[in-house]
Amino acid sequence: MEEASSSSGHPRHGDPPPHHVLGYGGFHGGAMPNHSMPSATFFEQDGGGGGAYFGELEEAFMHQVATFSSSGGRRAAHQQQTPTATSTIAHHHGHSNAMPVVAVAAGGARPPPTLDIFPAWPMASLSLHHTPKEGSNVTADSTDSESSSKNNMNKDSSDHHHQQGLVGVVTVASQFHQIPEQYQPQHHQQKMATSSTHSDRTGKALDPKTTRRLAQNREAARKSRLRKKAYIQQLESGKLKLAQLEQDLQRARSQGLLVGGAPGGNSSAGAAMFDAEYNRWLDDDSRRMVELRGGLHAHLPDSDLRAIIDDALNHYDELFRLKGAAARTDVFHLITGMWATPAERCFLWMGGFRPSDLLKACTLVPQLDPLTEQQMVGICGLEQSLLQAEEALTQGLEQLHQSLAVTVAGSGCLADDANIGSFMGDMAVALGKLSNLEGFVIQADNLRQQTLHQMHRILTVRQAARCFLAIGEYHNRLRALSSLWASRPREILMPDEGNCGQLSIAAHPSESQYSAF
Amino acid sequence: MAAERVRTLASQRAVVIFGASNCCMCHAVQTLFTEMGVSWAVHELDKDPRGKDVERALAGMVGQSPPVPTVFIGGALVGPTDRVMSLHLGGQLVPLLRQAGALWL
Repeated sequence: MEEASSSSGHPRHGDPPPHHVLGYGGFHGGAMPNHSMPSATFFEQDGGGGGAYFGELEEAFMHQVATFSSSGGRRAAHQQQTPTATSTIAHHHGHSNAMPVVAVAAGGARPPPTLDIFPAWPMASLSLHHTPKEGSNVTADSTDSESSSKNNMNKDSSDHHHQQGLVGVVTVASQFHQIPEQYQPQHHQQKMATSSTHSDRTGKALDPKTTRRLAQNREAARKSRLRKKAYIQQLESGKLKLAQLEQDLQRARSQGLLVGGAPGGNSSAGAAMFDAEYNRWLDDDSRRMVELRGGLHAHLPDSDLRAIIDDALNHYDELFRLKGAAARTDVFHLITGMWATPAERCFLWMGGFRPSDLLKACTLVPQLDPLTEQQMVGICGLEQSLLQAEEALTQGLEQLHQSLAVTVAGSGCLADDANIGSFMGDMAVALGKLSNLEGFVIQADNLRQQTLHQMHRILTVRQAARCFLAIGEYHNRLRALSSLWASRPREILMPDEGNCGQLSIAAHPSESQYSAF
Repeated sequence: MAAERVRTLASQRAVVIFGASNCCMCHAVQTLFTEMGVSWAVHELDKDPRGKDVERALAGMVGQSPPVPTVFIGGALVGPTDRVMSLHLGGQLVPLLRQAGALWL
């Protein structure tokens, strides 16, 4: 339990604080020696607790002195309380004894008489019934009017504490000095107070109804505090569990046990490993793209941009290295595109994107940095040779396909029963031919890599930055397209007689989900 | 010995491809030269009685095995497929071909 002043004791113990402590703690301790206050911090304001102690809070505010002692001496004494008193009021636990400190809240200033934080009671009713909680025990120095009301207070009924209002400076000021001395005596005197008019609260007359209500409030506050504690504990444990789950997921993914988004087709360890590495590469790539974009928009000097682009190029080289290794372990995984999203897979060319697609980024992108004549010539030449190379590889792969088909068909005795003899032989040959697939995927990746390097060579730094960004974004969009396609709402097909028995689309899903795009 | 034979064979034409009959990548390289309008000559190692030696020598020159396809332009070693294609993308293949007299345009 936190307390503003370390010097205060827990009121529950019933030990009054040192008398000289007039701060927050002093208030706290001196407030209700007998009052079994639930453990709540002074600055804590539970929903239930605050409400529970509203009654006492009201009391305290009513004690707040609006105007203040003109006497310099008292003011000096009060001033130290000013900063804490305000907060005291705000977080008051409803001790009637808060008054002395609370009263000081006005501090050196002279707040208007109507200053009160919970202005729920008419001022008129307050003025007559002001009293410091010390009530009957406070003597001397009181003005005549106040003293009479003080006495009244002790004998008042349950709403008495509501009526304790803002009062004259003098009374409060005078009592301020007397209070500390009176905490202890009060404590003992309470027991001697008239039974009918004194409760366990000093200076307050409470009837059984009020007492019960206060007790209920305390209970409610205690329960709500316990609930809050339990809730917070739940949250903490949930947070820990979440962190642990994330860790497990990360570990499993790095081991290739979990492959994000891929169907259960990769039983091969090499495929799973590549998928995991590829996902990591994608994350790294997006980070680089963000950096590149930031660098472009920040108008970094060319040298800095060049460094970022070189880094991105190296990152691509890394990807092709990964793919090369994967081609040697599981070429089918690469060439069938199981590592890619469906949209990418649909337009796959030899285990990846078509290199000439990259050049689209070159020709479409440069608006702010247009290509020079020489650059255009270079790009066109690159495109032409690239198309030739692509075609050459495609033809080579096609020949492989034909050759494989011939081998698998065997010597033409597929329909016969006795072709077991040729089976193993044919399979062996076919296996040998299949191994050529690796070469094609690797050559295709080489084309991709060389295209990127050539673009980097031909373009200026800013043009290259834009192109690389465009390439990254192009692939992002393809991947996004796959997700959107997978999650698009299905249209309901219904037979439509008007269409000569053909199915027509009856319901159109809401387009709103696409509107953002 | 075999290296000499390689050099001899490589000098017979402007563009000489050492390949194999069942090598599909060789077919790809041939297609590439055809697209460029270059006439080439292919030497299929599996059809050569001394093919093994040549293959060994080639492997030593190129550094990979099997060393097919390997391309020689103007008698000089260019390299395997990826080297040829990289040169082409870089725009250096055409000058090389012109220099060797394989390309007239």
